[in-house]
Amino acid sequence: MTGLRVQIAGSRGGIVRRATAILALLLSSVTAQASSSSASFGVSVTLFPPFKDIAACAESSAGTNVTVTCTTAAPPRSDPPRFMLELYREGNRLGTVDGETAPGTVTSWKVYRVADRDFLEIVVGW
Amino acid sequence: MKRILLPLAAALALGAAATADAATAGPQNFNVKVTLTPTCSISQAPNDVVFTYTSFGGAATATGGDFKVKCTSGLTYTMGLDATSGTVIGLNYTLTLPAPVAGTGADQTYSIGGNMVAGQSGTCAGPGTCSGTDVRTLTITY
Repeated sequence: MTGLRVQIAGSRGGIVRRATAILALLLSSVTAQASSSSASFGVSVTLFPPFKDIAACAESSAGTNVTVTCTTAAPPRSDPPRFMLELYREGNRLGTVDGETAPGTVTSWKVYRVADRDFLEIVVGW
Repeated sequence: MKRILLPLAAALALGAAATADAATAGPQNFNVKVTLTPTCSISQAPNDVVFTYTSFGGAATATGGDFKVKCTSGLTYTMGLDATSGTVIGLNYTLTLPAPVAGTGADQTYSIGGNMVAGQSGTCAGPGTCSGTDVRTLTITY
């Protein structure tokens, strides 16, 4: 009888030990499981059509004057030429100005600031 | 002589016992136990990653993609995207993430980098510009 009692106690102990081990495993797996946080964002793409007239431009500077000379082998166009300017401030791209102008030659351009605004002045002669 | 000394010894013994009682009632140490569960969150979701591309033009670098992460000080974490490449209006792009540094308890600012290789055509019926948007997901794991 005593021996039987010991046997039962031993079995219970084994069950308890096994249960404890399983619980420990479960707890450790819960602890090891990584948490995460997510957020969505957009990838926005704007595509400009290819430029048909490709001009090769070179710039040279002398003091405060910068000269940009462009040449193109393409024949003169009947429709107004387009120009595109990419604007930056302190290294950050602000955007693109896409415009049209009358056929002609840019004789000068300058950027000047009045109050909190920057102005681009382009002089075209034709 | 013995009669006088014995009561004195008894009184001293009582005094010693009284002193011992006072010592056990003095300051006791106890533990202050703190359990901290570290956490991480995207405190500011990324703003759009913006590409401007000219068909058959040069390589383009994206702007935007700034976001903030706030993590428990010292907590290490990883950052990942659901995809690091994709295609919008026929233009292939790739995205990159900077290596994260351990949490500081304050906002940490990062930026998603984007690149498009040169010479791609894209898909656009024209005659003007075309635009498109893809949705991606940023996940931080800790």
